[in-house]
Amino acid sequence: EIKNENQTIFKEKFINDFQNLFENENNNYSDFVIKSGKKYFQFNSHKSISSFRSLYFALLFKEKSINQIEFPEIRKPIMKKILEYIYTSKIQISKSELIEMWIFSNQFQLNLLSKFIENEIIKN
Amino acid sequence: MSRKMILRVPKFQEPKRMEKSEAQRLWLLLKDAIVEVQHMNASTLSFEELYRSSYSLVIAKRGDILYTGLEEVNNHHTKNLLDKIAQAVDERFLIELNSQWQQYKLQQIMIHDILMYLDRMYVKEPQLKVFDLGMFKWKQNVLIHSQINDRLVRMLLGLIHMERNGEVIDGALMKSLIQMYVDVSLKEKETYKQEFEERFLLATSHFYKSESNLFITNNSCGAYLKKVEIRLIEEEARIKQYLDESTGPKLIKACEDELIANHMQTMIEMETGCRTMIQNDRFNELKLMYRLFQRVENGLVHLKNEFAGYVRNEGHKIVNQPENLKDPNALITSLIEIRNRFEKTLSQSFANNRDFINSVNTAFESFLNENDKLSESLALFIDKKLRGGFKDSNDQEIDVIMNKVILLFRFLSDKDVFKKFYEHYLAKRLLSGRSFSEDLERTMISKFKQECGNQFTSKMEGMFTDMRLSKDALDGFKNYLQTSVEMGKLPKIDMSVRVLTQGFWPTFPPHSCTLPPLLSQYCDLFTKYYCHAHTGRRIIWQTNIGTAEVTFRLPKKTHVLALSTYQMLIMLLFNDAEKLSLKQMAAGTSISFMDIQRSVKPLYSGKYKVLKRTPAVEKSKELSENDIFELNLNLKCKLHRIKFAATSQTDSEPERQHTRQRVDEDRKIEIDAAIVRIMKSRKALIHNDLIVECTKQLSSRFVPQTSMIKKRIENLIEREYLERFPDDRRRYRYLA
Repeated sequence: EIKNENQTIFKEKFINDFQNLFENENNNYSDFVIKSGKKYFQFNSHKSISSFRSLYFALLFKEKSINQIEFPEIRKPIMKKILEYIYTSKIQISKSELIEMWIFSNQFQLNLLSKFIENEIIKN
Repeated sequence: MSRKMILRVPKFQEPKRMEKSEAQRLWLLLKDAIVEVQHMNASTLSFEELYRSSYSLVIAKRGDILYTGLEEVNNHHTKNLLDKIAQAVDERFLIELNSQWQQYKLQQIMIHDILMYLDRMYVKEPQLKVFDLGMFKWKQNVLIHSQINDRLVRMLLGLIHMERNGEVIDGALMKSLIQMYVDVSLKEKETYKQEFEERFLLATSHFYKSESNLFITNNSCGAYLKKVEIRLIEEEARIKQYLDESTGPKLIKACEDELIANHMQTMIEMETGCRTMIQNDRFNELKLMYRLFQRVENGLVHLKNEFAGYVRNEGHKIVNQPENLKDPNALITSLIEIRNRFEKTLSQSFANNRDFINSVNTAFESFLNENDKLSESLALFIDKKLRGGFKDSNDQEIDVIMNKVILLFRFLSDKDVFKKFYEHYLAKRLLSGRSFSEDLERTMISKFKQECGNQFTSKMEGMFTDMRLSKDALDGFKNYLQTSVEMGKLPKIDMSVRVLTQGFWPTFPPHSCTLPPLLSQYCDLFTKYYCHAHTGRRIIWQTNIGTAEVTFRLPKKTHVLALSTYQMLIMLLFNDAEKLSLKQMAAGTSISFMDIQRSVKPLYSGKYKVLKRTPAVEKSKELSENDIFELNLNLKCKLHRIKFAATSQTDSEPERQHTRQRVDEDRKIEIDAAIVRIMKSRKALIHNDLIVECTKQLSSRFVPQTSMIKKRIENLIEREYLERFPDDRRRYRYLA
């Protein structure tokens, strides 16, 4: 069996590609839209990815015809960070955002993330 | 593009005090949804709203309303289902139960999805998770309900029984219903084990008990074995098809117990059983039996003992068959044959199992040492082969036979007896020039060497060295004769001498005889030459084992007779006499009367008769001292050279006795050496330990008798190698 010694590089590439997938605004294959914040900022997203990563989304898509979900209560930067986590597992949170992030990661059933944030809150 | 469906998600409930009425409202909303799910109407639901409601209830610490509510709804629902299912009749029952169960499972998954926040944040041990709660309610209210459980198990077992009898059943249905028992088990499949598996195994044992009893009494063992194998394959398939894999080992064990373990004795003893199979070399059936017996505890032990017993019995018959006792060649040939046969059985049927091989070897050891003739027979067998019996075999065949000989040799407990006989016959072959090939002789010896080490073959190799050196000595002697002054005075005869080193060669019984003067002179000349060339050596002549060629002049024809020394001496007497009695022959040659008898016999009773008995008497009559012989001048023979056997073919009893005596002598020395070796290293030892140790050390060469060891110990005490402890007579001390 061949062993790939550059496994970390391959993983890096994988994450970068998913980062692009998430950031690219002209994403034709996107099949639903998330709008968040008071100004309804639009994120193009993928049902397949978000429902796999979050049980909450999986539940929402049980209603098959839904193709736009609006979260007026979630601020745009928070939504962005949550989606970035869903696509790439990267987390960049400032201390002031911790509580807000915890509420929504919990709501979205991102269990690993909310566990992480809980620990951060206790530490700070 | 399809119609745009927008879902607006409002703000989630903050974790603050919630009014009881609000909590109640949310619960009713959820309850309605759950009931819809249970009626398979999920498509109209807003999952986002349901999720948010359960989230709100939990976060407002109202999870208890939700949880107990859920329990109630499930309770109610499963009780309704019970009535519906229980009403179904006959085959409809299983189908109805299965379809309700499949639906119920899907519903529970969906309810779990809606209530996932409850599951994650509210449910704490020992409370059941949402899905498990659903399973538990099904088990409690449906599955183990008296109206269902017994009926279901009986029907399942009935179907399995039908399938075992060759009918086709719905495997998928079976799998789903049996898996249900596993799914509703909370831990370690306890419901499955208690409610289903136990009864299933019992039914299995019962089924195979009666089937096997019936089948084995009406069929041959071979057919039964095949049946068992098929049954086991079927059960393996059954496990894969619809049982839980944890049942596998238990089911197979139950089958093996009923089908194999309980009938092992019968399969061995029945008329068509193991014994007959071994007797008739039914390799495939035995192989199957081996494979099946291997599966049960102690199975192989039974089979092995039966086989070893048969081997011992067959071997016993061969070594005690009267014809075989007379004919060493036939004896060894049949032994090699059965060895081949059993090796074939071992490899084809018993996978060359170590234990089997060992027990066959033990059996060989026991019957090969049953009578003490075998060492000699084996030596004689090789003797015959090396005298030309290998003439028609190729290298490979010879090697095979030699290896078989070594194999049999390995089983002999008295290897020293064999060695003595082997040396004896080897010496005879070399001295009479009857060995077929020196290469083969050496190959055989090298095999013994591999088996027993240098010590075992050093004398044999010494014999070959002597033969080579004798040739050199003889060449030297011939040169010496040509230059010798005395040579001119003597008539020329062709004499060949072999110089044998004492110790390498078996000692031949010393017999004296008077040589004619001419021969004596030649012998003296050789002695003179040899002792001059090798100072310090002494030559003892053993003319009695020599051969001679004598010219026999008849009125019309001349023959050359190839004779033994004794026969030559007898024939020479007729140069000066016409008729001689045996008594006179003995007197004229100084040969013992018994040797005279043995030497004369081939001369007058063989195919070519150079002597006549006068008056003519019946052949069978024993010779007496006063029987008179004369030359047969009417000898008719086309051959120029006539060869006579020295004596009768096989060794006479006294010679054999002699060999045995010498073995005993050698053993004394070996035992002495062993005792001294042991005592030297141990310094002091108790009698019994010494005997055990001594027997162990010598076992590779022979099995010493305890009485003999005792005698040797006494002897060594006399010779002051050992002494007894004064306070403990049973202990010995080594005296340096």
